Formats: sequence, structure tokens, C-alpha cells
Amino acid sequence: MNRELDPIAEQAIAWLVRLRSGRDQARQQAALQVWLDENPAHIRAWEQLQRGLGNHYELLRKAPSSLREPLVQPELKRRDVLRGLAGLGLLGGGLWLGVHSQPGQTLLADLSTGSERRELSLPDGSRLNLNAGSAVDVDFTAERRLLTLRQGSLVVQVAADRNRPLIVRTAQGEARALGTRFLVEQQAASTHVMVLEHAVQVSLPSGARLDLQEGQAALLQGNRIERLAGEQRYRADWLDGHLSVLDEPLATVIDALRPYHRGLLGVSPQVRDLRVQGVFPLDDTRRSLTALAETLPIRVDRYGPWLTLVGPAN
Amino acid sequence: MSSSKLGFFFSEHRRWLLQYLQRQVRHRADAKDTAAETFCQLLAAKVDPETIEQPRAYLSTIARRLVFDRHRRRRLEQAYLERLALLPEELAPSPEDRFLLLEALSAIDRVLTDLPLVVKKAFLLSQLDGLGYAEIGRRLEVSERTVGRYMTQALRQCYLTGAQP
Repeated sequence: MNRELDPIAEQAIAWLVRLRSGRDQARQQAALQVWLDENPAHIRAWEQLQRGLGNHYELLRKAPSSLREPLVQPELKRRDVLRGLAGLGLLGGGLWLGVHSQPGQTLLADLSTGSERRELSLPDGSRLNLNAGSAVDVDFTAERRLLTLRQGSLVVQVAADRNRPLIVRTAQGEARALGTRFLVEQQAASTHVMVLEHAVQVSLPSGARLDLQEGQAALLQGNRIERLAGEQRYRADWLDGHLSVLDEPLATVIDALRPYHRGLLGVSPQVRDLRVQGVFPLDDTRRSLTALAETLPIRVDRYGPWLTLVGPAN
Repeated sequence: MSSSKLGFFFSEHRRWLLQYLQRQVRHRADAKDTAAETFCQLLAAKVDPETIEQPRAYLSTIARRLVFDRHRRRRLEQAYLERLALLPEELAPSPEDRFLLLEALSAIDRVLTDLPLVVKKAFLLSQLDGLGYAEIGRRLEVSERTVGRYMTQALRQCYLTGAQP
């Protein structure tokens, strides 16, 4: 990997290595000047090296030193990472069934949606709204009503039943209610819970709990529950077919559009973190992407029906 | 390279690549995104799909590297957020700086990616703290000469990043 570069580049590097040593600085400076004056190619190589040491470092120099530590974490071996990832498998990989709109057929079956939202009736009379690209297991017994959200986002209008709480379980924790309406959203490493009516209790496997009232929302992540400030009702706007974004990175917005999009939708790392505000139609991702391109320094390239790429504008 | 040739290549291998990636990553959205990025790299490299003899081996090699990079970036982000959370209020950077700092860390991490840990440490002590090799050598328990060698290794990577686009 670390092989030698062309001779002039190697010389430029050798000069900088000597200059940084902390010895004979003045003499080194003078000698470097002579070398630079010898040949314009020397100057070009020196400039390229300086560009490679650009502004990123300046910012880090001024920040608290603990924030540099992520750069020197013990290395993961590529092999180990890939083995580890393979071991995790894909959640519900074998369970991707199309949803039939007849509620009777969904009894005891896993529910999932493709590129459309669905509204379904559950056996107890509760109403379930599934966002596109979502998957849920239904497990109702005499003692409890359990929905396991494997992926995506749901809103459930819980039919009242004093003796059987309705529980929505995700990778991070649970939300539990007797009769209410609330939203649960499974994200990459966290879960959002938002109460639309009445109250819900969220909990973690560790036993930590929090009661949420109407209009309140929480984030379940790792071993903590974080109450979210501000108006959070916009999270349920997908019920009406639009995506409301207050201030999110582009990558998150694309993740929300992706289930509605036919074919692959890729985002270049350079534009992933651009901040987005706006309201976008979910059922017409082409229009949403066009709207994004009008307000952000991005371009949208389409390669046939199967591949759409979002990258930097220039 | 004509776009119809590419379109044909995509439609032929898209399904297989998605299935391959879904065995590697946990989230379906991640798999789709990585599949798109894999084709992206193919486009950027201006490879003629007809010259690829073993498309599946070729695509899976690119895809595995992307999965690794993505994992690496997540890990960096996670470590950064943990350290941010530990900072006392008065030292914490502004929300804007938090974002810029993460970008800076991520850019530096990419440059130094394949260097041994000790080389990164030596380079950062020089680059960020302006320490001389004697002091760096003392901290890392290596000779001054060795520090110089580490610096050469790191600066080669920096030089390559400094190439004009």
C-alpha cells in the first residue's frame, strides 16, 4: 500500500520530514528554499503536499483534544468486520411476503409492504398503518397483543382492551399501550416513538421506562431513552403521503424516500450530510428528487429505470 | 461506453448483487444504497461492462469494500459522538462546528486509512501538536529515526490526497 512515489514527490516529502524533526529548523528552511527555486516541478510537488495537509487539521487543532481520539481507535480487521456483518444476517430475510388487503388473510402472518403504504385491520379491531418498506410480525394471544416491527414505520390505532396491552417491539425496546394511537419507527440503530393520542409507556430491555403523553416523542438508542423536544407530529405525515423534513441530513431524507422508489437509489458520500428542509411527495419520488435538486447543490442522474444516483452538482 | 450497455449490465446483475449484499448488511436500505454505490464506482471507473470476465466476483469485491468503508464511517461517528457527550458544556463545540469537525475527522480518517496505528499517532502528534521527533519518539517509545520513517509513510498518503482533481 505504502509504495514509493515519483522521485520529486519523494524529495518534497523528505524535505517536510526533515523540517518537522524539530532540529536545525533555520538551516533546513534555507536549504528547502534553494531546492524550491531549482525547478518549478519542485514547487508543484511541494504545493500538492501542502494541499494534502489542508484545512481539516486546522479545525481539529482548535477543538478539545479528546475529539481526536476516534482517529486512533484500535483497528478492526477487514476480515473480522465482514465475518461479523455476515453473522448478523438480514432481519426477516425469508419473510418478505406481499400484503393482501383482506384483513382475514393477514391473521398470524408476517405483514410487509413494498413501495406503498397500507392500512390494515388487526384481529382485535385495531387499525394498523404501515409505511412503505416496513415489516411487522403479529403475535396475539389471550394475554397480550404483540407487534414486532422488523423494519420501517407504523402507526397503530389501538382498540381498547383493559386486559391485553398492545406492545410494539423493536430492536431497541418496546412501546406499550391499552387504548391509544401512536407511531413507532425503526431506524438503523434507534427507534422513534411518538404519541398521537392518549399515552404510551416506552421501555428498554434493561428495565428503564418513560411515560409519554399525547404529542410527546422519545428516541430509544443503546441503553437510554431520550425525550425529544419540539413538535414531533410531522413524523406521522407519511400517513397523508408526504414527507415533512424540518432539518435532517440528505441521507436520512433519501432513506425515507427509498422504499417508495422503484430501482436503486444511491447517494454520494459528498452530499450525504447536506441539511434539508421541506415537504416532499412520497408517491412521486421523481418529483421529490427534482425538488431536492432545485434547492441543494446536488444533481440527480438516472441510468435507466434501475439506477438513480444523487451526487454533487459540479 | 454507452448507457444502454450499462443499463443492461445493471438489470442483469442488480438482483444478484442485492441478494449478496443483504447477506452482508443488516438493513435493507443499506443493501440497496451499497448496491447503487457499487454501480456508481463502476461508472466512475469508466469500465466497459463487456470487458468484465467475472461480473459477480468483480461486483462483490467492490461491494465488500464499500460495506467495510460504511462500517468504518459509522464506527468513527459513534466514537466521536461518545466523546462529544462527555465534554463539559463550556467546552462543547457549536452545533455547526460539531458537523464540520465530524467531516474533518472523516476526511482525515480516509487519508490515513491503511496506515498502522502507531504511524497515525506519530503523524498526528506532529501535524496537530507540532511536536518534534524527539518528544514523539519518547511518547511512543520508538527512536527519532523511526518517527521520521513513520512521517514519510503518512506524508505519502497526504501527498496523494493533494492531487488536483
